[in-house]
Amino acid sequence: MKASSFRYIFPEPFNSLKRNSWMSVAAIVTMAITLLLCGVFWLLVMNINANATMMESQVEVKVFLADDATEADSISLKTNLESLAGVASVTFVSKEEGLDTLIARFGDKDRILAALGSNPLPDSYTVTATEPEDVVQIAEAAETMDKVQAVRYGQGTVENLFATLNWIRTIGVGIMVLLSVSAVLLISMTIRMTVIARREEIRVMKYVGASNWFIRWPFLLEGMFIGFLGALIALAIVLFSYDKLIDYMVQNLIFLTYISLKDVIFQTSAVMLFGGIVLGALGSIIPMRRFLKA
Amino acid sequence: MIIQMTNVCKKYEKGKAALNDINIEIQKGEFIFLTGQSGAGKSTMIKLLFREILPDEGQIFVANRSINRLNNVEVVRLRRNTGVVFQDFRLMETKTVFENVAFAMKAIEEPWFLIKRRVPEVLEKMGIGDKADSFPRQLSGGEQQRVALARAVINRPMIILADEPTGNLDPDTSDDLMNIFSQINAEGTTIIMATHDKRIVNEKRKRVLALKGGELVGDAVGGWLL
Ligand SMILES: Nc1ncnc2c1ncn2[C@@H]1O[C@H](COP(=O)(O)OP(=O)(O)OP(=O)(O)O)[C@@H](O)[C@H]1O
Ligand SMILES: [Mg+2]
Repeated sequence: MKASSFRYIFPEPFNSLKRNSWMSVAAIVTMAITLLLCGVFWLLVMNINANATMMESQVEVKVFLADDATEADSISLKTNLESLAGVASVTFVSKEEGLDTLIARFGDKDRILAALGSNPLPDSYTVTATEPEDVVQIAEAAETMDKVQAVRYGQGTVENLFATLNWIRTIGVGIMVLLSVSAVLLISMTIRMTVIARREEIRVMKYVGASNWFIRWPFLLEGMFIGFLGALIALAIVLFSYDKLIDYMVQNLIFLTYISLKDVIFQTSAVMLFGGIVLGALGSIIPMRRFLKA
Repeated sequence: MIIQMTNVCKKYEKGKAALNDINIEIQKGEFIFLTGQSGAGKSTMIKLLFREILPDEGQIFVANRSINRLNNVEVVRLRRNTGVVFQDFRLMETKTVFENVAFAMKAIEEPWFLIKRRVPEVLEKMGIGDKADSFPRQLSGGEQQRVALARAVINRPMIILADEPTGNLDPDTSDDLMNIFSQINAEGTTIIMATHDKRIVNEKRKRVLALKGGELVGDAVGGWLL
């Protein structure tokens, strides 16, 4: 097919949108909802990933001493910790220093002390691993040592976060697949109506020897255009509401990191628009295969 | 030789053959009448020639090439070399006369300047130059068939296949249309016309292929053979 022939093809999708306006609107809305959820889901996963990565990169293990640990216990524990593989440094943190850190992070010394009564923190060691992967191993070894009350490290949170992420991912993918299928079906129903409305024209085109692609392109374009419009609507909603949502989250869940929109705007737009166009094209291939056989 | 059929058989589903062992040769520029009673196999023959259907047995050659096995591009080429006209016109009701005819040129991707020039010329030649902006429902049967014929010839095919083009027309209108067919034929286009209009066949005195129950029972120049 000649590229210049697109001048004959381009007006057709618009004619069809006018002709099947209600059907087209339904298809566009379904597409918009599908892609909106895809977009929200995509941003959610990116944010969780960012948090997970941040925590995962932490290489600290806190080893808390038992309350009855003596000076000698403390020193032998330090030696034992230093002898573990993958340990970069071991630093003593007294219970007073520990409280200071806590206050520095959450503010308001009086409130914390009032809540806690007296300083409940034990003395501790902060063990730094050379590699994030060594953290779990170090923590497990430390737990078995004498006079150790508790061991804390970021990994536990990371594991929970990854579990949540997987869970969200599974449900999200499931919902997206279902929605995508319905969007594709709705588009294919719309295109089918166009095929039926243009049955006569298709027959004439075949009789006079139009090439297959000349016959197919209008339907393909119509599907892609519906997908594109749906994606535009979804994208507009995402772009408009993301910052507001993040503002709200930042005020309420301060200790998490958030991705700012301007860092992901290009990716998100590309993914959604491309997704819309691809789903639209898929939706038009189905009726074409069935009705436009050679 | 522009068309040749050798031992062509065609059977629809089960039942007896719609065409049985047909052997014919048609030269370039001939005017052929396909005659026979209803159900004799005329339409089947026309459909085989523009490859709407395929034969069960035998070979069909158009311009010395077998059309039994063609890829998409070759089917497109065959269709561009063959114009078709039907008893029921098959015009697009929502398009004007001009648009109906222009549609056939757009479909084979001719440039717009050529379409603008050639469509009015051909409409003029068909005697409906003043109807360009009318819709099919605003035209008489004879005028509609002229639009259909204009659409069939606009891309200058070598062959015109017409399946009872005068079937819905009164005698005078039929004669006018037949004169246009004769004119197209005189310009070198091969015409194959299925008809059961005895009067026309007897008047025109062209080669007649007579079918009966799917068999070729006559092939001679002259009048109605059955
Ligand atoms: N699509 C089809 N399916 C099954 N049988 C068919 C089909 N088309 C035609 N036939 C049968 O094939 C035979 C030839 O039909 P064809 O249409 O070629 O006849 P015809 O000569 O054109 O008749 P008419 O003058 O009525 O148009 C008939 O017996 C008809 O019933
Ligand atoms: Mg017939």
